Amino acid sequence: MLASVDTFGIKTTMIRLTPMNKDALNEFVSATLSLLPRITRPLANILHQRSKGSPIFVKQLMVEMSRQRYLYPSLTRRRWVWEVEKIRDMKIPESVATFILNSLNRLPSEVLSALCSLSCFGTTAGIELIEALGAEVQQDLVKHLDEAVAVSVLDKRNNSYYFVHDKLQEAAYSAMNPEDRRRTHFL
Amino acid sequence: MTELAANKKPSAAVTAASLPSQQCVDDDDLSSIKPSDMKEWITRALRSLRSNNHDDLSTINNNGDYSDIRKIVRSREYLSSALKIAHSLADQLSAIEEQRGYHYKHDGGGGERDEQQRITYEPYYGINKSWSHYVSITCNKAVDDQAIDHLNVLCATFIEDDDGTIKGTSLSDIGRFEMMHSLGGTFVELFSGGQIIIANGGKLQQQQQQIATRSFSPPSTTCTGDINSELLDTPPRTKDEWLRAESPDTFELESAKAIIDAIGEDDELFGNAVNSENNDVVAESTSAIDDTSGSSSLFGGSAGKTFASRSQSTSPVQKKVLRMQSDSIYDNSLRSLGLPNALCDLISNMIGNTTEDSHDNEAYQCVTDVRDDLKMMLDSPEKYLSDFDFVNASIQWESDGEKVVGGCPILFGRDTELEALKESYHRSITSECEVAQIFGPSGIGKSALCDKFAEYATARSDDGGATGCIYLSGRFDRLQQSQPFHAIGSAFDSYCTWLSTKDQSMAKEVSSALKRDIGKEIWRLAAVMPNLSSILGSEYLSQKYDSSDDDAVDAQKRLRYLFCEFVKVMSICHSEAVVLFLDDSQWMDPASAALLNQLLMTSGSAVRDHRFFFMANE
Repeated sequence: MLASVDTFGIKTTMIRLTPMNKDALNEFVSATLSLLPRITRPLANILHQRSKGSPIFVKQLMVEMSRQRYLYPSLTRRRWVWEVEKIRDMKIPESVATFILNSLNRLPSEVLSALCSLSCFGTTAGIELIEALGAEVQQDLVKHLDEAVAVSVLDKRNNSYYFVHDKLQEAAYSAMNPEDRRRTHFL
Repeated sequence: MTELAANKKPSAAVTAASLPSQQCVDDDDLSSIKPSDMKEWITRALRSLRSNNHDDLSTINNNGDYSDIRKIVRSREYLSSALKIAHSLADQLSAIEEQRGYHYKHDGGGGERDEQQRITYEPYYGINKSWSHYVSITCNKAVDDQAIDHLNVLCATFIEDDDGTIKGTSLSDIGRFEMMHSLGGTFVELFSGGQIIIANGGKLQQQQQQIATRSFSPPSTTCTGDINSELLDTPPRTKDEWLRAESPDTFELESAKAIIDAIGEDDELFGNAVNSENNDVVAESTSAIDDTSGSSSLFGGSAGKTFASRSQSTSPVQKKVLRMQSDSIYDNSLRSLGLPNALCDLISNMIGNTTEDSHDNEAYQCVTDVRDDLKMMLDSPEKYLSDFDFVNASIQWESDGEKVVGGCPILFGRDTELEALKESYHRSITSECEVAQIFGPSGIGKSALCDKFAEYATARSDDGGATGCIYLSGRFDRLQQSQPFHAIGSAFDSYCTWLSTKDQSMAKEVSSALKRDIGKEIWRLAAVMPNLSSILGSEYLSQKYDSSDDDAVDAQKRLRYLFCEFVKVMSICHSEAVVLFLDDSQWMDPASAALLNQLLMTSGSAVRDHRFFFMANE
């Protein structure tokens, strides 16, 4: 499909996004934890090694680390602290998709069902649509989806919800049994 | 900020042999400004800040109550001036460091330590002068009068004694670790507003006698270290004053309680505290909470007592304890002033550096790092110097939360890619139409890059750098492939909405142009972009034609043609460039691809058009 676009002799610039390098990743970690880059560098280096520089993987890793309390706010030091050894030994799936799927399964059931409803609209849906739908089924879908945003399963931008990964939408869609799916589509 | 940048060069060029303090100020009219030493600067800066805050004057008495100093050193004004000085000093020392060719490798993990330097390092006894006596600070004049504005710091340098030395050694010969430690000591004095002074005291034996005599008064006014012989010197106070100053107020206690309640099961606090340092802190903070009368102070007091009891003997093991204690004392004293946590960490990472068996990998290895960190604190204080919010601390990213700047996610390390996109865009709108395609696996940050570009392309600026294009975006979806033109249609649909709400006169113009050039057949377009009716008026579209004689292929062809006409009308009416962005174009349906090709072809032929297309793919 795209190859045919090139054939009309129109100049095309190809931009290929590569995984983040260590410095960029450290910048990201530093901004997230509000700590100086020098302090977060050891953490960023481990994250880089484990995530191979995929931004979404890093986000998921950080959520997971904080869930397992390898990364936690310390009262005595008044900042985020982490345990390098435990993070290095952390068991994580090789691919991001499986990783996110695991975290999907941990979500509360109402959040999960909100995700399933969303998945029927494709990978994205506007917030007005969700509000209207929520009023219809008498559930606070927006609130549930915001919870999913908080753990980086969804992305919210320009007043729309996006699945952060294609696999997620597929998974949420297939998590419904056919009857539910039919009913949700009917809505 | 600008003075800093201007100062950076001259002070970096200063050689170790000659360190003229006024070299930074090269303007003739500034040469009359006399640099002041640090003590003087602190006094004057505090005074000018105090007179600025007349409202607070009522709470100040002149009987040695330091609470107002505590308030002032926490103020943004004082802090930023002091940061400038600190950065200036670190910059000077890092220039010396660079001359020595010392480089700290970040990627090796631990970094290589300069063993030689560590062994040859010998402290200098007997001269009871701290490095802070060697600091010269130059400030700018106030704009309206001739008085020196002490908060407008131009630069700060270490100056030498008459014999060209600091404490008997020329700067270039001073060991790296002493350099770090002394700079840290200077920072302690600077940021505490002169309340905590670390002087280079006498030998260990003398120091211990001092402890023995002084540690009877609970607020131990002098604490000492061992070989390094740091002397912690707080201004003399009576016991009452000390308690008043140090006892945490009720509000802080309440918030501390709230925080502990909120955190509940902090590993460090309950159960898993492994190292004694943490235990101490727990003991201190819990006792402070239990006892609101202020008899046990949150800082200083109890640490001082422990310290005094431990200093009775000097076995090698206890020496270390001793030193760590003394380090943590001025560390704690700094924290008790309520200075930003990151700053306290920075200083303790400098001072703690001399602990030879330190496994703390956060200790500074070179002054250049100190300088860079100070620079970052100066540049974005809201990021690094704001208080840590325990209650709301969690790992999450919200697109409309505080983790983003200007409503768009911050990009990290995508400068070259963004630049390529911008270049392609500028070529496209000035000469020939171009297409940019962005590739990358799911979650790599394609959408973030495009958002950042959209922010750039739609921004209007007066200097002509950005023209504020019309940015249309659509998204292909696998589930919606059955609806042809869905993505492209929705992109133009949102244009219609935008136009009808934001620019009424332009909407009229577009409407009449559409009616003229396309005519009644426009209803076909209205089918894929419903909001077209808000531009044309619903009555215009209500007179539908009978479409039963169309076959499907013809209808699609017709629609493609109409899209091109529509874009042509857009180009005629708007002087701005038109950018079409299509996300997830791996799901592009054949009908959309054909349409896109046709759009591209017609764009290529028309020179007047300013169009740019780009797509994101997996």
